Amino acid sequence: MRLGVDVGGTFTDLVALHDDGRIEVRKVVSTPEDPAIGLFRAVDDYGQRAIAALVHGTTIATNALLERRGARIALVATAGFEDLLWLRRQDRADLYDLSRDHPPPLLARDHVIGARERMGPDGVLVALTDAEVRRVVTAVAALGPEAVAIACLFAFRHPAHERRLAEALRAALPGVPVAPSCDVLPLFREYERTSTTTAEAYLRPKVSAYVARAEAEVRRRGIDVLRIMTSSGGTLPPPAAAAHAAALALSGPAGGVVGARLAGEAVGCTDLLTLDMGGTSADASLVLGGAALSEGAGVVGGVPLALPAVLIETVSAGGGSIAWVDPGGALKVGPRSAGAVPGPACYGRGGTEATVTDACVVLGWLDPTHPLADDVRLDAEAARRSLAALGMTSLHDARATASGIVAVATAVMARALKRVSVARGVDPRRLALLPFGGAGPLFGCALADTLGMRTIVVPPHPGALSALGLAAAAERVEAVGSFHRRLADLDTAAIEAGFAPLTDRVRAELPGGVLRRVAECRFVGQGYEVPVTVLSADPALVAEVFRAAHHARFGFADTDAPIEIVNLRVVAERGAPALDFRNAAGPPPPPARREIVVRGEAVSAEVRLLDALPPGHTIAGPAVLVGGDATALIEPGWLVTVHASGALVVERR
Amino acid sequence: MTLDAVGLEVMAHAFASIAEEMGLVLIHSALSPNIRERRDCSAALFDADGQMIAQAAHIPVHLGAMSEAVAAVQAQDPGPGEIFLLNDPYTGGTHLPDLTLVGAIAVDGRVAGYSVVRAHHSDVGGMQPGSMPAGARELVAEGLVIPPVRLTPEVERVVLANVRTPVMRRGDLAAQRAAVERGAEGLRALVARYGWAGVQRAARDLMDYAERRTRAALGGRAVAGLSATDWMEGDGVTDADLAIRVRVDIQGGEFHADFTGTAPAAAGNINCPLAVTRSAVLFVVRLLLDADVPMNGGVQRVVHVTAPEGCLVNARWPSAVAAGNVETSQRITDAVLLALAGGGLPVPAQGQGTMNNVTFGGVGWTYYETLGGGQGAGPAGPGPSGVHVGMSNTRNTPIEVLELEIPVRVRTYALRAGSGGVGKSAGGDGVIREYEALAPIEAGLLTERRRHGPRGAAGGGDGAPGANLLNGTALAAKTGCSLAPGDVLRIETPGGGGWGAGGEPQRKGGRS
Repeated sequence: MRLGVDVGGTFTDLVALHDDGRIEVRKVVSTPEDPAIGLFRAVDDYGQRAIAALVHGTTIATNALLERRGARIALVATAGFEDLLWLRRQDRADLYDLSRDHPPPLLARDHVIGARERMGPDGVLVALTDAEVRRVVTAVAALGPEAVAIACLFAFRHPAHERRLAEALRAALPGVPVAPSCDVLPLFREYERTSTTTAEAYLRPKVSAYVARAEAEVRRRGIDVLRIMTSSGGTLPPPAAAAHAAALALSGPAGGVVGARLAGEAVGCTDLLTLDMGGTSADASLVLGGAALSEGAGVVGGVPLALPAVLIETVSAGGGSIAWVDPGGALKVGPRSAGAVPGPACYGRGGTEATVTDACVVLGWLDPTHPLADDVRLDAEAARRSLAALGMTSLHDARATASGIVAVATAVMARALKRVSVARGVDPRRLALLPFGGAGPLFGCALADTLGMRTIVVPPHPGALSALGLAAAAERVEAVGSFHRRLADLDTAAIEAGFAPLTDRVRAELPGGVLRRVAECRFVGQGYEVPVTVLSADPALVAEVFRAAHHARFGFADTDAPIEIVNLRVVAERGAPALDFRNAAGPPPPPARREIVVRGEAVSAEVRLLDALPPGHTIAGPAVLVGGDATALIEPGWLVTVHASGALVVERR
Repeated sequence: MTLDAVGLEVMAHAFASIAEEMGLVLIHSALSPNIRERRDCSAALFDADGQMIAQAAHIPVHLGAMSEAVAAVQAQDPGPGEIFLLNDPYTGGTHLPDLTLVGAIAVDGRVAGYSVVRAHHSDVGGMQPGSMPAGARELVAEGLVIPPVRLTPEVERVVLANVRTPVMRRGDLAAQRAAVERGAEGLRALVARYGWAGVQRAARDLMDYAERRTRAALGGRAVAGLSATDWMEGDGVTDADLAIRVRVDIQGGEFHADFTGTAPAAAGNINCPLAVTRSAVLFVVRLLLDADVPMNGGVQRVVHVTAPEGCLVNARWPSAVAAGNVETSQRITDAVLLALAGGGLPVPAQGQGTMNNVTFGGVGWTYYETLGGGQGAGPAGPGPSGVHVGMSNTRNTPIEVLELEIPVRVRTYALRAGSGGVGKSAGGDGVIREYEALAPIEAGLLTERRRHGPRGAAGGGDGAPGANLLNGTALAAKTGCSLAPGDVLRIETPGGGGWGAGGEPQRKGGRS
């Protein structure tokens, strides 16, 4: 049995995936002051059984970046280029708010030590002397750093200087982690590489301590294996996770996208727009051909990280997002959120401002008699009061105001979903929508309508899908290397030789994994690369596959420009057992009916318990399907079919 | 009947989403790096009367500048579904590289609105590759001039026959056309959902709403007769200063900028058609509005820009205009900011006010980049350092990309410490970038603010002017020079103006 545990801001979710594919779900309150407590309380709660693996999604790296609570670090950079982190890419933070600056880098400017050395495209331009190494080491040691980053120009191609500096620093500063950019991200573009390397040093002490502690706790409980989810949707064993701290920056949301991909696959949908709507925000992502789209240009807490990460576009429309009226008389939702404390007014924990969740309660979508989690019961009267306090005189009652709030939240999320797909050349109308998170399935129909989509997949346990994704994620390691050679100058042997060291590395890290080799190619002169899966290292075949991929993605490939391979990448994966979502459903209980409001109209909706519906069962909207961790709203005009996997497939009638 | 509070917000997102989608389709499918990566392009949706409903502007210089293009096309009596092409600065355009496509959106057999996409094509023919020739003295030398014409296959053949890179241009035009068509589809989908009358009413209400918000923001800021003069440092033909003079009045919630007293059109190519001047003024008005005010024709209704015919900022055919869009627009913004700051309005001090255009060329290759500098400080805080200011916002080229591609070595790239003006809030610092030639190279510089530093505001100090140095010897602001291997070209970009009296005295220099 494998456990997936997703530690979120409010709740910690646990999913147990049995060897026969069955799943069980638990939810406990998170312990933000020390997430490990909540993590192991969830595990202990579940009971000591034969647990083969515990897979963990953590926000430890994310929060350290957001709250700027990482290590005190020093950065060694090529002399003359010490300001790179402050120069960024010279675009400003906001087009019209001229005083707004980018979030500051992770260290003070006087913690950057310039090293007199310089590599160019073809090698050494300024030699690194022994005296200079000693001077740099002395200067760094004087700063008393908890970790050290090294990022020299052209180290992605010529790492010798970085390696010498790293060796000397490690010798002089025992116990202090040293992260050279040639190890962290051996790719060109100095700003992104320096930023990523700096983040690695900044996060490593905290992440490695957390991982070590988690590993000790796991051992103590007799669990065989601990694995940590990375931003790209793979998992790493503890030592590797501790050494790739920056690769955990999107560990949390990645689990959700993996879960969404698996739930979609179980009903035969491999092209999905996914939407994780939680308490404070909604995350949109894209799954194409059964693979989560991964891009290496994420920014977390204002820090660019050029490591592979699942694509996530976040908008501030969560259940806790606060509604307000602007000076021109328009109703707005977010970006402020009531968060977990005090939470929406209807939580009865002291919140008074109207939120999206309060609107859902007033519309009858959420049932006040049904507990949300542990001790949270919904107070409908408090929700109504919060809406009335908005003072929207143009709207005659609380229901009209509530309808307005959900319409605005829908518009905000629809725009994010459209951006995620259209920006990658994908028409949302040909995708299925997979809404999850506590609030997502309430908005599926409205979003699909707005985007012209005809199929919605509501996964089983939508509120715990991230934990499910963790439990079911494949083990995955990858190695990347800079290549920068034109295809025309290469033969099969040269490409094979480029892959060889990367292949050796991932084989050692994940024995028995299935290998995938990728060449990141572009037409010479372009600023972005297109990943091409390499089955045969024949340059002619690589070119052919590249042109096809480029055409699919950008709509053209008919230029005469030469093609170059910029980076090589090898990925190794070892899969998890196939999922079996089946519910242990008996005959469905008799339906109840309740009056709800959909798009301003009061309608009588069928109310059902989500987990008690047998496969093949169909329900026509309007209907409210109440689950243990989320509620789905089926609007009029939509038809639900319960799939054998336990998912709901909702289609336009 | 007007939209309620909810409809307003929902329709604002719906229209904005269409413009956004048009922009994404263009960026995604364009061929040239200038559109794909620098995002020198914009998309907008207009109603049947030619008022802008929504815009996705990726760089501010396109802000609100497309109304003229729609008006120029309307004068050609467009039929439903027809697509027009234009770039003539004196008939709806800005400068020649900005090719604008205007689609007349067909709904039920009539023109229901316009879908407009503008993109900077790095080649529209003319005397120099890049179509931004420094020495041009008349429009026709700058490239192919296209008045508003229906974009037929024949017209496209004429365009492609006049450029150096026809394959690239054909690809970019196809992407632009796809974006125009996507905008039309988007509007038709809205009509299918809400009905034609509903969509029309929503568009009108949204513009009224934006007008209301703009009037409210300007209403509390009545001022009269604020004036300021700023200078362009030569036009590429002569080095003499050219005055840009503005008088600003904010009365009854309306913004008036009058450029009477501005120098006549220059012999070189720093002239602007009025459309560009209007965008620059609109940019400053935008700074006075809350971030959530939608940018549409409602804002433009209360912004009035006048300038004498034939002057630098309201040029007439055949004046050359290529650099007006990139450099003079910055100075227009600066002059208006200076006038407002003089009247005590809460606007930032002037930023670096130039894009520091640097061009390198050798046998078989050309290379172009722009450099950030100091932003002006404002009442909300210090000015950011090393960023693009005003009408531009493009990214830099990584050193490791530059050195892999051209025979140039970057010797240093740093913030220019102490170049920002002092004040209660300090102006942002400029940057230093030093290039060493590794082969014989022809270099071109199109820069500003090498004599007159960006002005401080509310008692804050001025930012340091920039400098162009060849082996330590100062060069002119706009010049060309030949570099031999080993020659070092050093560009120091201006700091931003400081805001408010007080703060540390300015440190000297900036060489670290």
